[in-house]
Amino acid sequence: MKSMTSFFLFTLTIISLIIGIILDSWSFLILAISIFSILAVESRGVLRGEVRLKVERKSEKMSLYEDDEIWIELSVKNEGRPLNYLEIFDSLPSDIDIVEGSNHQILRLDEKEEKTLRYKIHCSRRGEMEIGPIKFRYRDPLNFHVEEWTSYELMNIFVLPEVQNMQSVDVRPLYTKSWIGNIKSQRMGIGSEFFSLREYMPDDALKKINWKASARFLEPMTNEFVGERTGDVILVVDGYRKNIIGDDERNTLDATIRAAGTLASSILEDRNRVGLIILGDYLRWLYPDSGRDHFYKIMEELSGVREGGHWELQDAKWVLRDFFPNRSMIVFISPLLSKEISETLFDICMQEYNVMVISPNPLVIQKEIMKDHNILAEKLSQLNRDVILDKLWKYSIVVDWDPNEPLEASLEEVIRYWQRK
Amino acid sequence: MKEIELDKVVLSASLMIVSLLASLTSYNLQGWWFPLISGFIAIIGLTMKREALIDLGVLASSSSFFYFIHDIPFSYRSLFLLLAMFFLYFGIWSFMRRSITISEIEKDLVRDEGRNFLEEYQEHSAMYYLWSMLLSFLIASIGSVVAIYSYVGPFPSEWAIILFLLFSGGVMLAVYTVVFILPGYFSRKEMPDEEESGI
Repeated sequence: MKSMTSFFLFTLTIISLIIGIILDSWSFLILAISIFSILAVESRGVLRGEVRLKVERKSEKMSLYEDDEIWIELSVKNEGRPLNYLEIFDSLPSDIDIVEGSNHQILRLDEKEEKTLRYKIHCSRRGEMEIGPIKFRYRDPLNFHVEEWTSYELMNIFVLPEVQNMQSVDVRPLYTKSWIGNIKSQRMGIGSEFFSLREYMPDDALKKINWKASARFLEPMTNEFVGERTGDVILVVDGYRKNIIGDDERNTLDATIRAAGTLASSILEDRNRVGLIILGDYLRWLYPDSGRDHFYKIMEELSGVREGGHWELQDAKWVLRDFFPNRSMIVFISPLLSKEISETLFDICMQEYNVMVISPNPLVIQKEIMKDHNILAEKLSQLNRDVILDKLWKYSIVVDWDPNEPLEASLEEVIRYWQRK
Repeated sequence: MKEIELDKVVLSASLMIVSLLASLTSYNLQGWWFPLISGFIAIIGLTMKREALIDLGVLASSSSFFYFIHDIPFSYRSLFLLLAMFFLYFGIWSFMRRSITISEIEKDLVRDEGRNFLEEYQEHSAMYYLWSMLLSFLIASIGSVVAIYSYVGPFPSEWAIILFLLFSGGVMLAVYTVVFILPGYFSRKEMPDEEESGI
């Protein structure tokens, strides 16, 4: 593609030629020849062949947590003619900031030469980020010839929600399943805590024999242990639009997702199975499973949650009933702004579910965002919220969580209180 | 003082000298000051980083100079003066545009990572400009001589016109071969692979 400069010089050539003929002046004809000679010399770059580039983008990892940084590497190999001025611009989403290096570079590439650009990005918001396409612009130094093209070499990075450390709190389901885990069940089985004594059976291992008891009863006695099992926990994330308060940077949805990620990590570490139901732009769910891979599946689902207006908390009822195992522990994470929520939760509690409600306090977020707030309105909202929480306390564990504080502290307090009760 | 600022000083001084030369050439004529004023506009454009002002200033200054000397009698000295002035104007104009491009790139390079590429570009583009101008000057000189012969010289017969056309075509073909084809041929010529050569 010829640039405006070459068009400008070509026009000058024609004008000089016309003036030379009109004025019958040899000097203008010479001028036309001189300009034309420059245009001819500059066209040599184009004659050398086409522009061919091989582009490859690499990253040290494909998923990272919020506020983490990663290096992006862009290798460009010239497989065509030499390029003197090549501009490269790697398009980035607006949520990504560049910390080191630059996504916009100017290169000079000889034939078969390969150069690598590196830049470090900082991802401040969760979500699936698409890096690319790469825009190229080549122009010769005199700017006579310009070529622009785009390479659709895309890369998707998952920015996972932040996971808080929870070491002192264990969220354990009341009902256990048959798999071996870390939760002490009401049955005998494989475990470490003493349960009872029984008569020795021929298949019992020698290390299970209680020698003191055997001496007392004058016959061999065997120890029985409390069976340690796993349970199913289903996390229900409320992304209903009406229940979201806050702006792009701080909102109840992000707090809800962080809580879900933190709980998933902690529960899966205890070898339990975790399921997920997301009520957002779409109704999405993951069947309960355990392991590291399942944790990343949950985090990827959580990273892509967007607020929605169709699926409310009460819609989770039929998904739970039809698709998820009975006697699971349900953890609802919701700011509890909708009036219908408490009724839905009562319905679920009536069934064979062990329910926990974690509610990120929307009033805390709203107070931070609004500079001038009405104290009376705040008191009324708090009163309304207290009523809902009190109602829920009758049937479930309720955690009123201040999103500015670690989730672990709020959970620890409530779980201890519940255990004493 | 930064290199880029030194560039601007040198370029502004060069343009003023060339414009002054153009004014001196036309001192007895009306409007002798026009090349100087136009040159000054181009310098303002360079300071303000406005390409349009640079283009306008250099175009006005050079075209006024060429207009003043349009009826200059033909001689090889006049031809050399004309070509030299044109390439001086063109050289200053292209280096001014380069200076603006570099400052635009620098503005985008907030961080230091791209500075190596920029320095490489600065060095290479300067050489590229000089080499391009040298080649253009060579072709323009040959083309001018050919054109001048056809314009000034009397043609005694039709045979002479045909011979002249053949001669000028041959010259242009030779120039084209030397400038465009041979450098590409030499740069592409590689030693044969061991397998291909059968060693």
